[in-house]
Amino acid sequence: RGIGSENELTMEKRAMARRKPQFKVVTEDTKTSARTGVLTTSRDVTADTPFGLVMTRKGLPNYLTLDNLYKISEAKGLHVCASHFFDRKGMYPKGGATLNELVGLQETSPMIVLCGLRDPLKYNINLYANTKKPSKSEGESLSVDSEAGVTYVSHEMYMNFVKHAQPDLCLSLSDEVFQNSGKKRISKAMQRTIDWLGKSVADFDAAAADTFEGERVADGAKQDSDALESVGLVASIVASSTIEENVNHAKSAATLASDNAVGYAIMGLGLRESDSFKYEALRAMNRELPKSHFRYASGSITTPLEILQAIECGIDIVDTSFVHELTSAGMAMVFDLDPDASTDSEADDINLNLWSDEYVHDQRILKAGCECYTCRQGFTRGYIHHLLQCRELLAQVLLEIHNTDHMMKYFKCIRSKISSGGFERYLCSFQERTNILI
Amino acid sequence: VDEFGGLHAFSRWDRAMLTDSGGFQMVSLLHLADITEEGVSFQSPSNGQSMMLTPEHSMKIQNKLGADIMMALDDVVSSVNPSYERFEEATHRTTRWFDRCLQAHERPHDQNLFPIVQGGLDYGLRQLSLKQLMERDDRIPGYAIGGLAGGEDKESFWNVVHWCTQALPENKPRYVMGIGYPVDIVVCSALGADMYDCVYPTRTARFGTALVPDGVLRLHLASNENDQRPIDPDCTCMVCKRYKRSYLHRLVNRGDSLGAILLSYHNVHYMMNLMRSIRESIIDQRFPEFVRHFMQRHYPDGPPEWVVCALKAAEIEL
Repeated sequence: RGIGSENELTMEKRAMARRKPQFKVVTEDTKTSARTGVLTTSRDVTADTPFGLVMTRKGLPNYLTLDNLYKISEAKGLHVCASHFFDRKGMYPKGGATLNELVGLQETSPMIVLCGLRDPLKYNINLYANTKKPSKSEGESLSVDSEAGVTYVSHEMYMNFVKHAQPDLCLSLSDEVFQNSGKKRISKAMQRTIDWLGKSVADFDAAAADTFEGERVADGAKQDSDALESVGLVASIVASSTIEENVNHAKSAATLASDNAVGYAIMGLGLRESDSFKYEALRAMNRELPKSHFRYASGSITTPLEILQAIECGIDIVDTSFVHELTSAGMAMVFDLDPDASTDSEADDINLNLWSDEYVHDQRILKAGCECYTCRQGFTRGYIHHLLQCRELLAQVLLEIHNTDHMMKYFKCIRSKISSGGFERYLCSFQERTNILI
Repeated sequence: VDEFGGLHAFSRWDRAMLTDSGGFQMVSLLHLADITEEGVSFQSPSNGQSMMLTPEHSMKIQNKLGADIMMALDDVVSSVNPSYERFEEATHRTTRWFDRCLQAHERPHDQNLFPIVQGGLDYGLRQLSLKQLMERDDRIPGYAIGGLAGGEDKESFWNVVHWCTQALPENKPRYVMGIGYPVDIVVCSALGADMYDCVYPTRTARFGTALVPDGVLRLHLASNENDQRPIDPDCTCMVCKRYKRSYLHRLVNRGDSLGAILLSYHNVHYMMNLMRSIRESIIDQRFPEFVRHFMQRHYPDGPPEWVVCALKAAEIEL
């Protein structure tokens, strides 16, 4: 190839890079590691960070149809589990439909989709089972619970799903173990995670290279490269039992993936480590990872306080499994988002347990001033209590709408606190209000 | 509910609403319901205490609920009871109880009280019920045809509807209670009925069955695994616009709530569309054609005898 075509290649490369999801830091808090940022997908859908992903089951929220989800204006992204798409016949879709098409998100969807293997709600990785011993053809696999029962998912199987689904972001595989496992097991977990990351990096590299080769590539490979064209890699790392190991592990991942990845996923938390260790690990890893990449963390970062404390450590994207936990328990999230600014006398309520008889005659909406559909329409606490007593699905639908909306408003509030420099104060006052054990 | 301002305010539904008297639910859902002239005595499901539902009590409750249409308490005969004497007693008692309902009804200007024509499957008893109720026609905004949808044979079913619609006043709505299969609705509409209610469309949706022009589509069946069509390619609902059968098959199979929700959405849309089509074809003077087309799609090998007979009585040749 002559000089002319090299220029073409560079231009193509730049165009390709623009097609990938991008992350940009906007504000950095001066007192903590918190920051705000903007995530942009290849379809130019944006989300301000920090924000939380709406949990899904087979690609859709538990109780919300998409038209209802879109009405929650601050909901920006979905967390999708590849393990939900394995059944007795294998993985689906077998082709022909991307994830967006399959679940009805459509071209103009305002949602960012992040895809991982396991379900943060159910922790469906079989923690007691060792990963399957490698066979020559398959390589190492993760044992995951799916509707087909115990399923062994190899890197290739997972990437096959990703190529069909074409989510905006995809995590590399991670091997998660209890934090009180033996040293050997933990170090194996970290090694496997790095190995899988290497494989993911290679897959994305190959896809990028193939695109430049143009006509020289066979049809199958070209399809592959097209498939990953708009997908952003999120490099997974697992937290382990010592800070030193965490630092080294994060460093390796940073070296390996920072060119290809748009963000890092800190996995393996919520598996019997102490709270203080959890935050130490987050801080230590955060320091080793390049600032320009977003941090996603999963596992025991669920309650509003935990989310706030994780954001303090530099986390940009979290799951919102707390929404599902409250909804399925018949509870409504009503904590005051900004106690300093409000004069609300009901500000002491944090969650309402709507099963309780105290709500039989309660004609108030869930939260005064809330603008979600449930509250705007005037559905009362008494009515939702009645629905729960009658075992009506509408109770969960109304609660999920409200709880999701409230959670998303929470993130919006956090972002504004970071932008205005009031984050640390907000965090302290939140800790005082909610953490009775401090 | 009264505290909350009535059922409309409680459930945030500002369109039409109808409440039943509670009679049918008691007899079908509770043990040891004992019917006397006074009312229906039963055991409270929450504490086993003996309770009585009288026509007066039913009116009081329905007045407080505040629905637009309310039903008189009728003497509901259990469908396993074959005795003519029992049906006869129930026919007379239903009229007596309707008189008591009329007396006890406190909101005749807000709420429409419908009586229920009874008489089992017997022509004579049905005519008796019709005659007695129509003697009170000046106080009746609409009539319900009850005692059907209890597993009776289809031949009796359409005949009873026909006797009633022939006799009832032209200018008042006829409400056939508990009817909801699309075929039944089309036939009853041909015979001159106007209103229906049924749990069928939403209940069957929760079990993974979608209503389609050809009948039903059981989405949990493996045949849908790779089917890339929507439930109904001609349906304009949100579900049919966005989703394929193969995906819905996976949602309904494991009872994910979204599966039940999406299918309920489609089925309700289907029913509303069916009713609209019936109305429009009547207005456009092409109702017989509509019925023929509907039956053709539902029964490609020819409709059952009872449908043919019923439609013949309605002056529609298939």
